[in-house]
Amino acid sequence: MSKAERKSIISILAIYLTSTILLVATLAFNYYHYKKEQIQEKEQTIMNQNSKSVLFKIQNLHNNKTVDIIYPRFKEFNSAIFDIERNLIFSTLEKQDIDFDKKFYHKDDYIYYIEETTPYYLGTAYIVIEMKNKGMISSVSNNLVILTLIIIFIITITSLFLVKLILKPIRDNLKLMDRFIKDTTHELNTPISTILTNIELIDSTKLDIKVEKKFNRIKTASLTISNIYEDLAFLILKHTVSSQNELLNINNIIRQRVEYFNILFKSKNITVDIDEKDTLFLNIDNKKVTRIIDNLISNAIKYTKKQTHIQINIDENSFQICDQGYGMSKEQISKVFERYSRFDNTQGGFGIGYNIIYTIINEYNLNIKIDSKLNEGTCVTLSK
Amino acid sequence: MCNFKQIIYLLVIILPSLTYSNSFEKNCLNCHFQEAQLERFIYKYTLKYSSQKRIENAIFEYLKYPTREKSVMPSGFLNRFGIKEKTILNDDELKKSIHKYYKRYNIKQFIK
Repeated sequence: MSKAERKSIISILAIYLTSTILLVATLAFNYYHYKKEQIQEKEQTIMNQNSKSVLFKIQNLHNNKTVDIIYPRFKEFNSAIFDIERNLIFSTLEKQDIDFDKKFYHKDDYIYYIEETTPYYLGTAYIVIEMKNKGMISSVSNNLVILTLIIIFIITITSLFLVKLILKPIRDNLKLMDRFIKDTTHELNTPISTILTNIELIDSTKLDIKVEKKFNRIKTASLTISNIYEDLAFLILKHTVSSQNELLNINNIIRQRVEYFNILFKSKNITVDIDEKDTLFLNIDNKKVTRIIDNLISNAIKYTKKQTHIQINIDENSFQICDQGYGMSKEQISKVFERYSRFDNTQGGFGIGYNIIYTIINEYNLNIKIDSKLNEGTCVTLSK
Repeated sequence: MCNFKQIIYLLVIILPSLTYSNSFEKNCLNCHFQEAQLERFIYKYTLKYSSQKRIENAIFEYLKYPTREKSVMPSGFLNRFGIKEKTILNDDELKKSIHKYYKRYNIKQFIK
């Protein structure tokens, strides 16, 4: 799965799941409150009946005067009676701390119900009923949480499947493109090698001026093709060939590559200056660092106007390649490392150069910084 | 000497309570000598006024300024016996007698 594909899946999943979870949570919340009210209503009805039982008993006790008044006790609930000033008259409650501001409430493991009465039998103005909380509400909430989690899990799996289904055509296209590049690269290997070898064999000094011009154009074109070929070959082989890291003098490599691209510079009348403040050493695979430098230089040439200047600065920690080209917007810079991203279709290439650079700098934990202004130029700095 | 001092202290503490007790018995029990009658009053007052404070205040108000409206007794009882005459006791003595009456007859102490 590519990075872009993963990003798309995460974005779609995030939007889809957030909205679904919100919907499910709202439904669950409403259902919970509906059930809670229903349970509380039921509990209140039962407790109201219990308070009526207590009232009936104390009414009888008040009216049938006896020496000892035996307060009524019930198995199902506890009760207490209070006078009009909320002084305790008698109690069988487990907890004596009563909140008279509420008619019905849950506290600790008990449910409390307060019923006001008149006239005041045995002085009773308030009957308090205490019942053990059977945990019906918490059982509803627990079941609801489990059910919500199951629904969210099923939705996540389904949405993952859906997202993959939606992305399948895009993925197929990318696979097709990768396969096409692979096949093309294989087919290009022999002819490119032949062209380059034969160009090297031709002694350009012996050619007359008209032919030399044509020869130089062929040489330039073959260099470009060679560079594209190297990029494609890297993409194909990057997972199969292990890195041969060694401590390399980057100044030397940059000088060699500038020399290599010399004919391309000349074709666009571009001047190049290498300012070597210090020597940069990197422990890196030669082919890979060459890919980075080649791509940066070829991009600088490709996206630079004729008769401009390319400045290369090297110090002990970094090197920088600055052109006076068309530049890039911030949005373009943010997408520059995506594979197949191209901003100028008039120029050749597959849009894989920066993707290759990004892959290599990530492997070696190097840093890349792109400073660019539209119509002014781009400076790419690569540092340790 | 020491024993004499102790007796004086004891008298200072006990005498007032004896006086109040005597005051209730002298002023109330003289007429309301039937316990059942006093119990009946407290049941009526409890049913109407609930708390000790309210009951004592209500009895005080009735004894101080007796009217049919303030009485807790049924109209048949009032028609037969009429309302009580205004008390001749001073406020302090009356309050203490009422308190004594409440303490002795209040229903709540008999609930078990």
